[in-house]
Amino acid sequence: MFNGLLKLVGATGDLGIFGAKATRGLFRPPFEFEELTRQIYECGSKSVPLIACAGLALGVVMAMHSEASMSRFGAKALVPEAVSIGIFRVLGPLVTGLLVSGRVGAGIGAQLGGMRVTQQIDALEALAVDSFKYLVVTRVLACIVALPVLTLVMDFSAIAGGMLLDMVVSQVSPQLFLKDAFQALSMNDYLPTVLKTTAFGLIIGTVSCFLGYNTSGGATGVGQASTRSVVFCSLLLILIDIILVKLSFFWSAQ
Amino acid sequence: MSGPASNGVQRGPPLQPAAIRLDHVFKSFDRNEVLKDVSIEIPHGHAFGLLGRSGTGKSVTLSLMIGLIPVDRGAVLIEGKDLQKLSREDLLDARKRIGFLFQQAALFDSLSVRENVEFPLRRHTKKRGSEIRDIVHRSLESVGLEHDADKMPAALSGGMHKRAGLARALALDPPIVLADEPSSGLDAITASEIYDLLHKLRERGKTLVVVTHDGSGVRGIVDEMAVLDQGRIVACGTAGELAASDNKLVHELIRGEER
Ligand SMILES: Nc1ncnc2c1ncn2[C@@H]1O[C@H](COP(=O)(O)OP(=O)(O)OP(=O)(O)O)[C@@H](O)[C@H]1O
Ligand SMILES: [Mg+2]
Repeated sequence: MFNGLLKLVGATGDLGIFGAKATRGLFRPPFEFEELTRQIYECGSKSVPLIACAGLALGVVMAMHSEASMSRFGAKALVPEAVSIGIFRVLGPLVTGLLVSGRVGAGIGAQLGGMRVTQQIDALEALAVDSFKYLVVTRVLACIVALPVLTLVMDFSAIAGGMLLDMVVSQVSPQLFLKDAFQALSMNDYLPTVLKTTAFGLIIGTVSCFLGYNTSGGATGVGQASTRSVVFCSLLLILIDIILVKLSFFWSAQ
Repeated sequence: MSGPASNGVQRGPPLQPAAIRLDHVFKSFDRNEVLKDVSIEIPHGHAFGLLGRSGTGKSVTLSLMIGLIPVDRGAVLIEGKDLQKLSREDLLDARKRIGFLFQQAALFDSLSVRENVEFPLRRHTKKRGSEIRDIVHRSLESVGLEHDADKMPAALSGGMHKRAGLARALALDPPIVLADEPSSGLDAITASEIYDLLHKLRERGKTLVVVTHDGSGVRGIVDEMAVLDQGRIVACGTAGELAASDNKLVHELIRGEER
């Protein structure tokens, strides 16, 4: 028990050092633009279909639920607002983060883990390439760049989903839905979200790279790295989300 | 073949440091003491064979020589520079002068054979595309893989992996080449072709370290060999000297498959 705790503290420390090193690497040349572009494509562009579909479905579900409850108070006109605020403030960043943890976190954990156990990371080093810069820094940065964009994709597809449902069920015109939906939002709904999702990207990139880069123990280890990436990324995201929401309430109360 | 040229009069400054020097090196993994006080000195332009039974630490020794793993005690000097004392940038620079063939080849599995060989050239040279293509073609030809350039590593046999790995290690034309079991997994004919290739490198003045358990194969190409056993160098000398040794292990390793 005590040993387990000690191990956890040690691992957290290692993760912190790893994250600090990765963050410092973001600002220090040489920059690996080629690999960075590839990773933004892998982590970002290739996630768009998943995020867009999920967003659409989420929007439909949210609109259905708010239709049902709002109509009891005769406040069906508030549906667009409910969908847009719910998505932009609460669900968009978190759901995107969790989906990306699943898709990208698991992928990075498995890929770097596989490279580690088959000595490909050693091979990079032997070919005089800084493997940390080449593999880790690029992936962390790719996640940081990708998450805000993906979150916006999620947000807008959810609004599209809500709009579709409202069109079909209540024959609300799309123009009206969109007008109501976006009127409810202020600049304060965009900026904090972007900042928050940047932090999410940093977490997903750092945790999954940390687990993958330090894999040991063959194929079993690779599987473990992949699974753990998803688990730890998801838990950390939720934790950070709670903290950030608390902070933002504190901030707006000032 | 020339004899040992450690007087070093022909080229370079008179007291040229050895290409590779291991100075009382100790290395252990947890409780497992792999190397216990190993000292090796390989002058420039020499070919050196490192023999030993499976699991005696040959691959570990080779990894130490390029700084992939740190020594516990002692020092590794490459061209006079202590790897432990180099900054990260200088260590990477030192590695550009070393070609390294991994025991399992360690090809990048997301890149084709051609791209694997291109990789160091693209990163470390300013050569133009056509020039790089030429070099890649020539080095793949030298290992007999010119028709498999566009295959992915997953589609290669074990021996092809090895040969592609060797082509990648030689791509930058490094002055020092470290090869871990270059002939394992190859048939006798291909193996002798690889040995010919290594022999040519040696004749072009490269420093060569070949790790193997097949003493008879490398006998013709190395100036000197050492036998590693239980973490120590138990014998060191020319092939002839070792063949005459009365140590049974040394004798059997040098002679190869005699039982
Ligand atoms: N990364 C590592 N972690 C822990 N132990 C290791 C590691 N690498 C090597 N060892 C241990 O070091 C010893 C020597 O291993 P090494 O790979 O150098 O053997 P070898 O002489 O190359 O054998 P072979 O001829 O089979 O390749 C082995 O006992 C191995 O268990
Ligand atoms: Mg070995």
